[in-house]
Amino acid sequence: MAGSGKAHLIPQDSPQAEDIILRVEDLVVEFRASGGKKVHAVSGISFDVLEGETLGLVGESGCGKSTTGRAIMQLNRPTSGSVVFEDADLTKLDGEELRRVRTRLQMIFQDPISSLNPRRKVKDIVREGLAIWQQNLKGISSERVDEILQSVGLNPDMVGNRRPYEFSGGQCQRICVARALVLDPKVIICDEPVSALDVSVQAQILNLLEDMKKRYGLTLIFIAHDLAVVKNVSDRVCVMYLGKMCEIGPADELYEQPLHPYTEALLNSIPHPDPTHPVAEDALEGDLPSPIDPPSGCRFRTRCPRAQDLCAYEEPEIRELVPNHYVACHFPLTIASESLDEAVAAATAEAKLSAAAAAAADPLPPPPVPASN
Amino acid sequence: MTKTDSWVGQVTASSDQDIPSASTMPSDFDLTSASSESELGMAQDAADSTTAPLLQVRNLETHFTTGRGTLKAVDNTSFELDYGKTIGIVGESGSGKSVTVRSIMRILPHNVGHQSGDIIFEGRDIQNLSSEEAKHFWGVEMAMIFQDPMTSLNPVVKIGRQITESLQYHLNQSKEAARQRALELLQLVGIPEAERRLGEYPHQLSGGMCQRVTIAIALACRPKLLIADEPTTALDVTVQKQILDLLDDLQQDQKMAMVLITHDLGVVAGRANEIAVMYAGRIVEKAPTQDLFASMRHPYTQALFESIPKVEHPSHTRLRAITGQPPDLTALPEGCSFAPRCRYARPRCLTEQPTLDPDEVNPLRSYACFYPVGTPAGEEALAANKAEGKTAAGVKLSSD
Repeated sequence: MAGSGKAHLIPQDSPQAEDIILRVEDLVVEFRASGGKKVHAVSGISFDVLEGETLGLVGESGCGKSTTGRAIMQLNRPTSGSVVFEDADLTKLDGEELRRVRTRLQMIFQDPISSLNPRRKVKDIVREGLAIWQQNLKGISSERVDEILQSVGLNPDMVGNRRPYEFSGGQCQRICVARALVLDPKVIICDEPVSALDVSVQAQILNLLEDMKKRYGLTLIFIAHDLAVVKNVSDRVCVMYLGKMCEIGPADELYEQPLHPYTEALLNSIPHPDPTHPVAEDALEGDLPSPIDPPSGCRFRTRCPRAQDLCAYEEPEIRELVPNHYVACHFPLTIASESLDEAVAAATAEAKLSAAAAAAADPLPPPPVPASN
Repeated sequence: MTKTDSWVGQVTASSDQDIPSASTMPSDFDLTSASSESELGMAQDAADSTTAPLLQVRNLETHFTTGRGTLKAVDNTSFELDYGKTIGIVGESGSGKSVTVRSIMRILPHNVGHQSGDIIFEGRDIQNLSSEEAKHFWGVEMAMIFQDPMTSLNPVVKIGRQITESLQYHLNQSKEAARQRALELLQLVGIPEAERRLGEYPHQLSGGMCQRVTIAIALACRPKLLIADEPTTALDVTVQKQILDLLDDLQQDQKMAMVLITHDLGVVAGRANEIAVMYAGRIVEKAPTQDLFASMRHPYTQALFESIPKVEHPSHTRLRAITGQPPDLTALPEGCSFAPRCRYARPRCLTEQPTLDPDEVNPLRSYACFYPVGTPAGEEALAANKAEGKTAAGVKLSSD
């Protein structure tokens, strides 16, 4: 899964290009680790977000989904790559320009209680954005705060003067949604907004996000590790693994017919609330490799049931296998396991040809084949 | 051997019983023979007490004293568990599932105001053990694993030492024998390079690996009962599957009974023989797993199930959320605790508390509800509420 390549980005001349509200291209985020090493948190992610859609980012912890969300907000500055929002490349902005853009680009975090200032009143928390941008003409801003609180299902007269610790997790998350909405944003990045909540409350917040999306014409980037939750809210889903993209496609299709072995493994791991549902036999083995020293070639190969030698030295490019459904894998699930051997032979021959061509053009030796572990 | 002293026999090894006793165990005791021997021992126990379950909890009540008053964390809770079986306890945070098992394990915070009820393990009430007896009871007969593997391991003690500690303390094994057994245990729970891991610290392992270590520690003395309190909640979905599969295998191998606590109905669906659903400190519904999922009787169980997003449903399927919040346990409503959020609530639910009674048709299942889902009484209540447009507690209902 290595997922380099940008075949899935919408070409500029396509009629859909006008609907692109946010484009992330070749996003790389690295963190410094001790001993001069680097943590490769996100390694070349690209995607488009269309106006009015919900794009789900899903993957295990450590796959870089939250880092991607934060890098879009410029909370961690990306190491390289671009994030284009409303014709401005956010990576090149700073200071007031960036802060102005961010009013249109809001975020909701995982832990609702710790992301609210415990010492401030709810109405002040929600009003703060308005106050900062001098929209605090007294009457208007109070009205706006009340309206937003009402729309997220809180009674402004009851909650306005109370403080976050007086509320449960679900209510705090409603306050966070209100705070994100108050400046009338275009895009909201939701970073695991329901994973700290109980199941019954989780459903309330998911329904609320859907309602708010309709009411305020929002575009959502929804980051979560729970595959069923992501499917429920998303129009398109992007599966990530160790800083790379595996697969991106329409939600229903991707779950119905996953093309990447990792997506299939994730789907097989979901515990079904149905005792008659057969428990899938093969669990994905092992743990996520270290992002300090990710595997060569396809990063998923160390745990992939279909991995071949080719996967170790050539990173798969993302390609469109089914209309609008893109996958970065040499041996996607469209190839039946019986005919896998032929596919391996064909792909290896092709890779050797291109390697030979590259060697002819460039006197450097071909990359060594690392030992698979 | 009488059934009351059978568990003491394992520790003191004073008589020639057929249960392998700790001090007479050969030091290179391997797991396969161990399980067959303990199976023998269990068969003996079962013969002694053909009807008695391994664990019986009767009318357990655990209340805490807090600044806001008495908090009824667990109220009038009863269940039974047979040898080698699994009971799943499902509920949201604050439903009392963790306090129930912590009461059984006697690891409660200091502000317990009131505790009563019977906890009977192999025919003996374990609340009155002397401290000498208790020392070799918890951890030996009954062990527990916790939600967060990173915090349940000691960060400054090597993995090996954390496993051998209980072997040396409870089973009097020599250092070398304990180390050998620790190595076997790590291999058993699927940790690669077990030899090297023995010398490592918890922070050098991933969350999934740490949870495997805590399982190895819990299994070290071959308990008859394993209590797993949200063992996979902190883990990724692929690792969750690994750990649940591992627990399944180990349980079959060791003929161990298990209490599996979770908030996720999906986790218990394929794993538990019986499921108890808790709400506000009480069991509201209890049934064999197949029966429960075939038809849910308590409106809370049904509502909980319906509020889960299902991966089979198309995206943007509207979820049926439960309105409102769980009740404050210091000020529980009179009547049924779920009534304020329930679609079936009738005036009677607000004044009278239903008891957990067996179903008339299927006595294996029981529920605490006056108007159970799928029964004539329940359908009538729902129809009446829909006609009125709201429930007795004032929850608005649409007529769909």
